[in-house]
Order: sequence, then C-alpha cells, then structure tokens
Amino acid sequence: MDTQIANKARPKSRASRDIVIAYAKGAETAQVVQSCLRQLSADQGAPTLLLMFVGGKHDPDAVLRAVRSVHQDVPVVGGAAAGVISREGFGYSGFEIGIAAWHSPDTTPQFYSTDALYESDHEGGRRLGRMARDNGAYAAPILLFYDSVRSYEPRQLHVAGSVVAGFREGWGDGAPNLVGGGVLTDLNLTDGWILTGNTVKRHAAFALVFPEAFKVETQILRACRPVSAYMNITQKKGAKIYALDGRPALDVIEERLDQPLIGADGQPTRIMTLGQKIGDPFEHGTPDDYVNRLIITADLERRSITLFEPDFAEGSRVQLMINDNEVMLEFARRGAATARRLGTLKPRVRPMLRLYIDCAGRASVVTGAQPEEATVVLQELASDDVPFLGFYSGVEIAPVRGDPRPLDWTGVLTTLLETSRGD
Amino acid sequence: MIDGGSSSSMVPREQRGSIEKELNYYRRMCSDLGRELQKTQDDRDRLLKETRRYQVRDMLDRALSNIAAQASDIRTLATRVLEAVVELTLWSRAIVLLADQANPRVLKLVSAVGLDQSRFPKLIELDAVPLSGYTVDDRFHPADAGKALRAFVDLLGLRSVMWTFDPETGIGILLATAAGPAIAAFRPHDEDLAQTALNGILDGVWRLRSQERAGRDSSSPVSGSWGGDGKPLIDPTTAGIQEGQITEALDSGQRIMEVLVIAQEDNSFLLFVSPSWGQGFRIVRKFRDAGDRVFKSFDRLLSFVRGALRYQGRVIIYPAEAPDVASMAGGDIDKRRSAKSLRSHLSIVGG
Repeated sequence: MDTQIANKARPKSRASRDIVIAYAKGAETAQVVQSCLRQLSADQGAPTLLLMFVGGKHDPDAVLRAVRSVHQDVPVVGGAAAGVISREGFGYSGFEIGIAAWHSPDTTPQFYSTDALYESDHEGGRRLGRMARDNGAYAAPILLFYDSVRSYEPRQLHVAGSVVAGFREGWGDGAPNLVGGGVLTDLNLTDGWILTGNTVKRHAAFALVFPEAFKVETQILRACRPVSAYMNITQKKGAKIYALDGRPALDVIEERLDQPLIGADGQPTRIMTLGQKIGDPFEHGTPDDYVNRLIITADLERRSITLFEPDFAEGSRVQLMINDNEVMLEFARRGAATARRLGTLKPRVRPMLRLYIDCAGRASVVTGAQPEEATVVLQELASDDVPFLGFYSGVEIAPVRGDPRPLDWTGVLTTLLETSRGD
Repeated sequence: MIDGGSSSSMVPREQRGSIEKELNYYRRMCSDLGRELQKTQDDRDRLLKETRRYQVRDMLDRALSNIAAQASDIRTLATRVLEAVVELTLWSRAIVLLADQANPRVLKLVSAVGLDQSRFPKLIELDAVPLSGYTVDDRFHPADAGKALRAFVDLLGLRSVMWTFDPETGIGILLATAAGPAIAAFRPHDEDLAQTALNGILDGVWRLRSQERAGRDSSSPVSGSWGGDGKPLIDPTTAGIQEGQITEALDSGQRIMEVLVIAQEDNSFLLFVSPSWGQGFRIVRKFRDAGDRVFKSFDRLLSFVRGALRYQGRVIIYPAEAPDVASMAGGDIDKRRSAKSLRSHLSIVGG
C-alpha cells in the first residue's frame, strides 16, 4: 500500500529555527519515548512531523502507541536504527531513540511511502518516485529511507541500487538528487522496519520531499583503502560473485585470511569489502574514488560470495578493501569541519538540520577504532548550533559525481540548507 | 594480461614479454603487501576484541555492583541488570526467569529486554532445568541440557542462546543473540559474562532480602551501647558483623550509632560498631565471616569508618596496654575491665 501525507503549504523564507532534536535511551520503550517528547519544544505547540530513528530492541508498535498518547495526529516517519547519534548522547545498544521534530508547516517536507519492496525493490522505488513527482511540484532535495533487510535466514537484503534506480525511473526526466539510507535493527543486519505515518511496515521505503527553498550539501566520510591488486569479476549473477580471475571467489578471499570468512553457523565472521575504482583505474586514487560493497554472506558449496548490492558488473575490476581506522577518523574530522563551515560561507543560506547516516560497520565495536568515529564528528560540530541527528545504517545513499549511489562503510553527513528567495 | 589494448599495441613485440613480467612482479608484490597489511590488521582486531571482552567484564562488574546496591525490588533489579548486559555486550535478548517454588521445573518470566514481553509466555515448563548451557554451531553444550536449550531456541527464534541458573534462589538468566559479522554467536568464554550477570542479580536479591530483615529488626527497641555500670555493651546475639551487612542496612536507612576501636600491640586495630538495628557493639568481621577484620593503618580504618560506614561521629580508641581489652574481641564481656577504667585510656578522634 502506498501512502501520501502532503504538506501543501508553499515554502517561504524563514528566519526562525523550527526543527528540534530529542534523544533518550533505555529499555522501557514508553518511558524513552516520553522522555524524548518532553525534550521537544513545548512552546511551539504540536509538531508538524516527527522523523524518528528507533533502536532495534524497541517494539515499533509500542513506540507509535507512546507517541500517539501525546500527539494523536502528528505524522511519524522513520525507522529502526542499529544505533542513534545526537549531541545529547549516542550508542548502538538498540535502546536509543532519536527524533527530529518539525514545527513549521513552511519547512515541513512532504512525505510519501510504499511497502512494495517486498514484491520488487525496483518497483517499490518506481512507485515512490512517481508519487513524489506527481504530488510534489518542487525541484527539491529528497531524503530516501528504506528497510534494508529482506530476510535474516537466509540472509537477503533489499537492494538500495534498485530502489534508487526505480525512484529515478518513476520520477522521469530531471529526477532530483537523493540522500538517504537503509535502516536496520542492529549491527548484525538482523531485521528492519519503517514507520510510515501511522503504521509500522516491513519491506517499505519513504521519501521526504523538501520545499524548493531547500537544498542539501553532503559530505561522504570514507574509511576504506585497497589491499590487493585488481581482480576481474569473471562470473556473477545478481549480488552473487561466483568467480574472481576465473577462480572461485570465496577461495580467492579466504586464502588471504587466517580463518574462514563464514563460520559453521553460516554467518560471516568478519566484515570484508570489495571496491571498484571510479575513473581511470591506473591513476592515483583516494578513498573518495571507490565504491565499496560489503560481503554479506557466502555459499560454502558453490564457493561464491554475496555482496550488499548487485551493481558490480561481470568483467569489472575490483579490489579487496580494508577499513583503515586512521583514514576513517581523518575523513570524519575533515568532513565534519567542512559541514560546519557551510552556511558561514554563503549569504542568505542557513543550515537547518544536519543528518548523519553512519554505516553500522563504522562503530568502534566493529572497527576497534579509538576514539569512536561518531564522537569525532560530534566534537568537530561541538561549536555548531545546527540541530543534529544521526543513526547507524545498513547502506548510505549519496550523490557521487552527480548521481545518487548506494555506499557501504561510509558516513554520509548531510546538511539541509534553507535559502532565501532569489538565491 | 596487459590492460589498455591500444597503448600495448604500440609496444614493440620483443619488449612486451619483459613488460608483462615486470607488471606481474608488481602485481604480486602489491598483493603480498596487501595480504601482510590485512594480517597485521587481523592480529590487531583479535587483540582489540580480547581487550574489549575484558573491558566489558570490568564495566559489567562495576555497573552491576551499582545496580545491586540501588535495587528496590527484584523486577527493577532484573531489568536494570539486563539493560546493562545488553548495552555492554550488544547481545540481542536477555531474560530473567524464576523457578516456581512449588514446581521447580516451571520457570516464570521476571523481566526481559530486547523482545516484546507481552508475546513471551509467562510460564515455561521444562523436563529439567539445567544449571548452565549454550548452543554453539547448532550443537548443544552440555548435551544433557539439549532439551531445555532447544526449548529456549524455539521460544526466542534465535539459534545462539546461553543459560545460567542458580538452584538456591531459583533464578536463571537466558541470553540470545542473532549472530553476524559484528557480534558473534556465543562462545564458551561468554559463560563468564553470563555468570557475572547472574551474580549481579543474586547480589541484589540478597541485599533486598537483607534489607527486609533489617527493616523488621529495626522495629525492635534499641537501647544504648553502654551499660548502666559504664561498661560498653557487646551484642550477645552475634559474634560480629560483616561490611556487606552494614552497607545493606545503611542503604535501607539504618545508621551506625557509635564506633569503638581497640589499638593492638602490633599497631593494628580492631573495629567495633554499635548499629541502630541492634543492641550494643559488634566487632566488624571479614568478608564471608572469615575472622575479625584487622586494620594495619589507622588512617585506613578512619577512612573506612567515614566512607563505607558513613559515620561522622567520634571514634573511641582503647589503647593496646589497657588490661583485658583484647578479651572484648572474644565476646566475653564478664572478663572485661570496667568501662570507667577503660575510659581512662580513651582517645577521641574527630567529631
């Protein structure tokens, strides 16, 4: 079923800030939600929209009930999160809840959702794109979120690349750029769900379409560097890679490891990534020049590996990548510093919200990085008074060289900017 | 093969073999360096994971100690312990179950985190309740716990579960995790953490029970710590009191009324306290009641009195040379010298 909750008010320039962030953590869902709602600015009245990222150990129906006990009619969008990041605190225990609350109709985005991803990721994306185009007349920034997990056993994911391609096809000519991510309940990609206004949906996606006075600036915070020479994908089907350089893909990967990539329980023992360099493969490259894909599982009999996305073509050159903590922390520091300067450089441009879509694989419990990468971003933005909300995601979506692409193992730091008329 | 066909076709045939050889050399070197880098990172990751395991255990110990000290009822205690366990370990689900007194094979839900409690059965009946066990790689360990573990797996819908049970109290902790690349399935060393969690709950339960007893005791009238003849009164009902018992009573609102110290000839000190929930002085005993607690330093004793015992009043010291004073430690009050004589040796420290 597809849903549309549209804010028909035309945008206009405003000077007052009307997005408020709340964050709380705990096992008692109702108490955590109530704690968040108390933090929202009471003097501005009921919010016009709540964007919620909810730790995966909370029951989403209980979350909605708790919200409804205070705000009966406010649309609630969002989804599960492996963790939440805010200035008030962060974590990935699954007990965290973060909310961005809009209070002004003038700046509240239109909201569209679909749960058609169960049938087809591409078709779900296409329907969403068509709805957004037909109803939202703005050439505006769009945030796109979707449920990452199709099933835990067998391990199958919804494909961000197909959702994005479908969205752009549904929109047609002049499709706007997209920023967003795939939501999931925990670091192990166990489950996912989406809040679509008034209900909880699995296999769903939603888009927030902002008024035309808005635009987004995005920093992609990288972490990976290559640790192999180029290998050719010589046999694949969908997201499954059967052969690299003519040999079984799993053999090629495992001969570099001290232990099997897949444990006896069929689950991966570590995070590994294949990267594809954009542009000239033999020119000097930086982490920005790579699109990386996590290996999410493998077939022990066929000796194949399965990637997070199916977009690496047969015949393409790939490299094994590792997460380099120094690279990750340096990119986090630099990217956040760049974001902080936004709005100070251009007149009549005002940052309204910073949204941080942070790959769950970047958490310190996975990478061992010290300090925690999220704290580096938060510290760099400490002097900044722009509302900030982040969550730990499965896949990140951001423009790379002009086109929206699904990304793995990145942090996507997006700043929503309000521009005055005439800009 | 060399990539980039057009440029390679410009290379004289006699040089191509040499260039390909050179290219393959660099490819191998690149791959070898990458492999070494990866192995170094793997070693570092292993060390970090090991370190993290110890850190988690330490953090859990500290967190559970605080939780146990502040618990007001068993459900709150269990919930807070489970929250701490899940937050630190990132396991998916944690549940505290309590064996029914009439039928110990029936387990009742006390608290759960990471799942919807309303969808979890209030009662679980097992053929037998194992002391401990876990699933590893779809096998049950120990084998005789298999039936119960299978029931837990079916109940929780996750293949990796761990169970630890205390038959004395009937309390058990059930843990489950959805294994994946970030958080692994349970391994034998995780039993340490499960036992630590259970100990945290048991510690809190004993404190709650002790508080209940202390609450009942406090309703009895308290007389002074000194007899009408000026002798310090030693509580005849007990051989002493342990620090844990004092802390529990203090947490429930009781207090230490007076403190008395015997300075021994070897410059060590014995400590007596007069608690509000008893009659007279009691000697402070070691943990698990393993003898009288002896302080080698008076500063440490005073720090203990002011800190752990939360007592800010005067501290009376009987010096070592006071006749018969050592017999106080033996609890035989009749052999003690008169309080008047003892008081001639008093020193007063602090308030």
